[in-house]
Amino acid sequence: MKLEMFQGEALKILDSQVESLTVQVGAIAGNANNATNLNYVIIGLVVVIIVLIVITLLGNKK
Amino acid sequence: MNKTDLGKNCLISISVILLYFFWPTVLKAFWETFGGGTSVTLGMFIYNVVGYAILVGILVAIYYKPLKENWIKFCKDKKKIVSILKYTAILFIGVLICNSILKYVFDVGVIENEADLLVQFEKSPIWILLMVTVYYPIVEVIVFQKTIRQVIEKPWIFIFVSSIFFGYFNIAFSKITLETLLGTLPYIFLNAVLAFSYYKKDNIMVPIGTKMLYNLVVTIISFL
Repeated sequence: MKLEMFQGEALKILDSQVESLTVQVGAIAGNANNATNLNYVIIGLVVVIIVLIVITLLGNKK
Repeated sequence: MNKTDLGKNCLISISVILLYFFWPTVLKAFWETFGGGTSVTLGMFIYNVVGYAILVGILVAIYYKPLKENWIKFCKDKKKIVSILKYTAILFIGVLICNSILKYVFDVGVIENEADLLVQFEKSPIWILLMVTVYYPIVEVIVFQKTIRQVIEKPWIFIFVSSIFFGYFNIAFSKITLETLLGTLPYIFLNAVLAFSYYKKDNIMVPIGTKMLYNLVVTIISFL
């Protein structure tokens, strides 16, 4: 009887741990869902890359 | 630095920047290709943790030599704690002033990026705490500062470009409005201070340590 109770409690703890972890995965998935304006990101990346290339070509000694 | 080295650094910097921004898409594509479902599972969580850890590993591997040198220099620096505390204090005062100006002059509240973080923090504090105190300080300082510093040697141009780059990408995932553009001010200031500390101490561990401490304190304050 005691063993069954112990197993039951252990399972409950495990369940709560998994639940907590799944909530955390939700947070990561949320990050990906926020990427609604990928166009802005791509524009930004293109600008940054162009700036870096231009500065490299021009040279920029201290 | 000669032109060949500058060209090589520029190529590495562009690769690192692209890797950082497309890594989540790569992770997602692999997950879907190998039959991972869209539902949230423990497997997905472990996959993401491992995936992000691999990205940190790749970035550290790319800059292994300078990072190792900086780490040794940092360990020997007797004023390292004072430097980190000093720059963290500057960050707090500056960000507080920026936020006050935004709130009382422009009537700008919490911007989308911060609101998302707060919501996610309520859902999963441990995960967000790990991300903001370990993952973001290491990865963002490498992506937004190390890469730019490798190419731009002039200090003030490096600080300017790096800060605009960082400020922009903190709102690029949100809807861009006048409010969100004004909301970049604290981010630009934050990165400017970190970039200045990097230039001044010539050691990447100082901005990483400062950002870790700053984010940790902000997270604890948010939690209270």
